[in-house]
Amino acid sequence: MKQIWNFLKSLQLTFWLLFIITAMFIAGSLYSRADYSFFEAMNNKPIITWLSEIGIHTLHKTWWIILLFISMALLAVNTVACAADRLYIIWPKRKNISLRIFLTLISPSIIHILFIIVLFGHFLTFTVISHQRYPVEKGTLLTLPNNVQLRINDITMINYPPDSYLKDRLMNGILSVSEITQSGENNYSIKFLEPVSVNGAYLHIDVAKRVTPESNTTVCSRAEVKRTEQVMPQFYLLYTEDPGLMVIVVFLFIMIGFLFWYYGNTLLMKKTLTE
Amino acid sequence: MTDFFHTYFLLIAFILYCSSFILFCFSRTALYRVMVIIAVLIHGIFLISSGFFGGIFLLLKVVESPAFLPFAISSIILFLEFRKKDEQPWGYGIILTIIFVLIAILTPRSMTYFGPNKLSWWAIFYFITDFSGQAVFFIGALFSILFLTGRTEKEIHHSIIAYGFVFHTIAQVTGAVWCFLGWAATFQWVFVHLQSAAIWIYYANYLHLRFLPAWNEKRRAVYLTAGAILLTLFKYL
Repeated sequence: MKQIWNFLKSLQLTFWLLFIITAMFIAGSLYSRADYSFFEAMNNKPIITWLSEIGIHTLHKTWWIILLFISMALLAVNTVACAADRLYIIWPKRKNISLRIFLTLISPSIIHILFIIVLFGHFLTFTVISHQRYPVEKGTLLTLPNNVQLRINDITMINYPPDSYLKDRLMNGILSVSEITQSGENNYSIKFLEPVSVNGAYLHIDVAKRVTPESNTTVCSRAEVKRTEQVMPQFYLLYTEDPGLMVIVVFLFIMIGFLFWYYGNTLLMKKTLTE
Repeated sequence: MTDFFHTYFLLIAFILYCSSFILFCFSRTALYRVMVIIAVLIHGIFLISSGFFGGIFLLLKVVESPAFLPFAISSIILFLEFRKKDEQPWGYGIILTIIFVLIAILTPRSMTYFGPNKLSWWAIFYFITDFSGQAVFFIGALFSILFLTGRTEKEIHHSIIAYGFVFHTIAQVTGAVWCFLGWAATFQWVFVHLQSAAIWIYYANYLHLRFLPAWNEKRRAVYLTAGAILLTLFKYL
């Protein structure tokens, strides 16, 4: 049992797992560069669904995803074991050292645990995300997966200033929508980079050229989109239910806070020792 | 007027960086520092001028410019020159600035504009922190090469890389927020995000190497040099 524990908490294991994960990300980036739209489709479906429908039949270019998930799971176990072992050593010393030194000493362990929580948030996102993309026009009626009924009241397009060379390019857009409920209507304005939250789901606005190679595909750069008298872009409403989102964002910020605390205090302690 | 700055100022900055490096090699420290300060100022004017595009000013155009990376490198070198009490040959870092300024000069001016999901402060923070992280990683790699060749005695690159890792982590956070606001996901299965994750994990691994006895100073320095090669491949290929 002790041998297994020693193996799980060993830094040698950490090194090799991180090394494999780096290699898998590099492999993934090469495959994604070679076939962008194939891997981009993964973003719109839970990973299990995508793997069982598409990934399993194309193992020659998806093998790295499976290895990545296995390595990440092992890394999570390794990190928890390492952090627990470190805390077990430091905890009894708390009475003999100042609180600041104690907190600085346990900061790396806390950062590691926060990293695992962020990883778990990503796992939640990858496994249970619900994502839909609806083409919308003025007057479109939609029933979203969370049973919210929406009506698109208006689509406002905002171009770059008329005195600039970019005057026929889209700078922002507003979807004016109404949530239809039994008691009445709730109105929302969805702008680019300003999604709204309705009944636990996020609603984003998206846009693409009117003519796309295949239906329901995105264009990589929205900068391609023009809006002139002749060319009107196609607007979309993105529906996203992502239980991992808040876990990822909140704990990433806490992790950054601890990183600053740790490095700041380490610097201060070094300075004090030098003086 | 901005076209004038855009045409000549990066070239002037390049000449000044080359001159400052020559002065550094001849141990004319005071003059070298003055020259770097002037070069950084001119480089900064160039960057601001590159924000004027199509009749409007876009700050994002400044921070995503290929000339922003060498600007970050030279600014960090200046910061190290004036902050560190122990004298280190930070001037070697100007070599990196010269290389990346040359690449920026040879890169045709980007005529693309930004779609609506890119006009965000989060995007600006992302580019600043990401380029700063890259700058620190490149400086760290250069000093690891200097360490391997015996031109520096101390393993100063380790503490440099730790700051690079902090910058890169902040870039991951700002990038995740920007990506969610613009594209409804904090991470996407596209090569840009996969490369970014690879770099983060690679340097996270480096920070652990100190605790592994088999990884002595020299092997760690080689690891850092390999990191810079990986970063260059991702960025320029």
